[in-house]
Amino acid sequence: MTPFYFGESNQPLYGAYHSPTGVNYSNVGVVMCYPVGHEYNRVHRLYYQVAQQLSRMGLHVLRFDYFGTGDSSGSFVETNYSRWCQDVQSAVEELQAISGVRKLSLVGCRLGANIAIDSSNIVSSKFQVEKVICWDPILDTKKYLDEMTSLNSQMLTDPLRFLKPRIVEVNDELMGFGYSAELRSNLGRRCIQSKHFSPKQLMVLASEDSAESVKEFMETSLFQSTTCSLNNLSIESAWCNVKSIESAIKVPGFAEIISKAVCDV
Amino acid sequence: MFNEKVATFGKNGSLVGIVSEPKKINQEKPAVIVLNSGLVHRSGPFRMATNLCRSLGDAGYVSMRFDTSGIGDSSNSDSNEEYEKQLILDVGEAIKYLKGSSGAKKIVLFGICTGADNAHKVAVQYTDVVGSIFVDGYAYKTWQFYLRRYLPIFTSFKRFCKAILNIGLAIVKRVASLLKKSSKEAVERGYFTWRLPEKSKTIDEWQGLVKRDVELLYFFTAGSNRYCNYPSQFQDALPTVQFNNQLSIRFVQECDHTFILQQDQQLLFTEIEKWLIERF
Repeated sequence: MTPFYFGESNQPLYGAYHSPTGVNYSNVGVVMCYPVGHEYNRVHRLYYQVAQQLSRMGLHVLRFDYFGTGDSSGSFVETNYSRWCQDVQSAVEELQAISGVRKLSLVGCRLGANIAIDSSNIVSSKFQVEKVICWDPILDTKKYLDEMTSLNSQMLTDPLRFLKPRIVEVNDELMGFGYSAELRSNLGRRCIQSKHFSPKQLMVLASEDSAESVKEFMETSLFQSTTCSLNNLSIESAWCNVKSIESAIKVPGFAEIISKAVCDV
Repeated sequence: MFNEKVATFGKNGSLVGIVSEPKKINQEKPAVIVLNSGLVHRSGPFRMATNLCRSLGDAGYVSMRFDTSGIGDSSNSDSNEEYEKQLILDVGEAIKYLKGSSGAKKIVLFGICTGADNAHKVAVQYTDVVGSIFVDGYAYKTWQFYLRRYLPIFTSFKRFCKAILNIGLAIVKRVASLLKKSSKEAVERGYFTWRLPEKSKTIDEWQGLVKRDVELLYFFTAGSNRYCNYPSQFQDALPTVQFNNQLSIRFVQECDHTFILQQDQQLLFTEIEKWLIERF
């Protein structure tokens, strides 16, 4: 794995490139889109393991941090949804420059899944996006924002976290991250914001506790003309449970599920 | 203002970190190494480590946040060393890297949660370490701790009933866990119980650190309340240890264990920077 900074020199993004170590598919690349906010840490090592597995299968994989997240430059409060979609485009271009891949799949989780879908349409103008693999995508981002707000309130009064409930003056913070008015406005528009979906295939992975919303997601008109498949994961991700906000998610066989989804034609 | 660069070091470059450097490096100032908190990636819980390193960079200090073997972006070690030995080797590599790349002469460690535990173990091993910051690190119980913890139960009937219920539940859970799970299974499932090391051993180690003129800064948050519940407990439990003015304690139990709120992170960073200026 090669870690590096890429993108604009005054606002670099952190990336981790996993080069193929097995049979070389050579022209297939995968860009992995993280969830945002406190959910990022919950899947970080899992993403690493998936990337390692994919590279062993001969794929070029790039994990990266959006502007204002992880090790990338900027602070969370400075960023917004469209910037994250642009960052995916930069990551795709970087992966193409490193590896020469022409075919591409995007993998995303939670809001990262939405970002993968929305950016796939931008990316499709230059690259052949074969598949988008989404784990617990969010149909209604306004509802997501409401859920984060509710989770934040629970967190502030959680006796396992604070000895006395914390009263925080009204500010832009949700679960430790500053959500700017622009980002709130972006999310309030109920993205998926794209009007069409370009990639050939969409594969959706649903945790047990997200199955209902994922089903609703698959029924949206946006995906009617696309080959869609659904794979149920036998885990509860507990995205909205205050007791789980710092728990890393372990999904048995997850790397194999993603690998199969990417490699199956 | 600061710059950030990727660092790969250790055997086969398997360890990954990010170095934050001020525009102008002053090699007389200590460089800070931020350890993983538990199994959390080097950017830290709620991006705290990234924010801390940038704040230190703005204040003129070099710092590095990095992942030890098997955490975050660092691969598993192939050396078959036990966890603790591997951890010490990994941090040794980080110290070597930072001294080489930034010319740092002195190292300060920062650790939160098990990171604090690890910072203690590492500080004991390497003489390059001149200071260490521990968030919810070691502290030993005193009679006053027990009094503060259990006396309130007897001052309210509601609290008393709740305590009895909790004790009952704890006994049931304990019995159930003994019946169902072996300790090996518990480890495999990722259950983790943190235990304070033996007090006499830790006292010897503290005395060794003091003798080496190592500066110690302890933060005690709400996360430590189950074993440290009043400001002077740390010293009260160690009446025989002479810290020679090298010990600083910040009792911040209004903050949570992982500093989820940005205002609490800011308080932490300010206290650390004040301490660095005062002590080095």
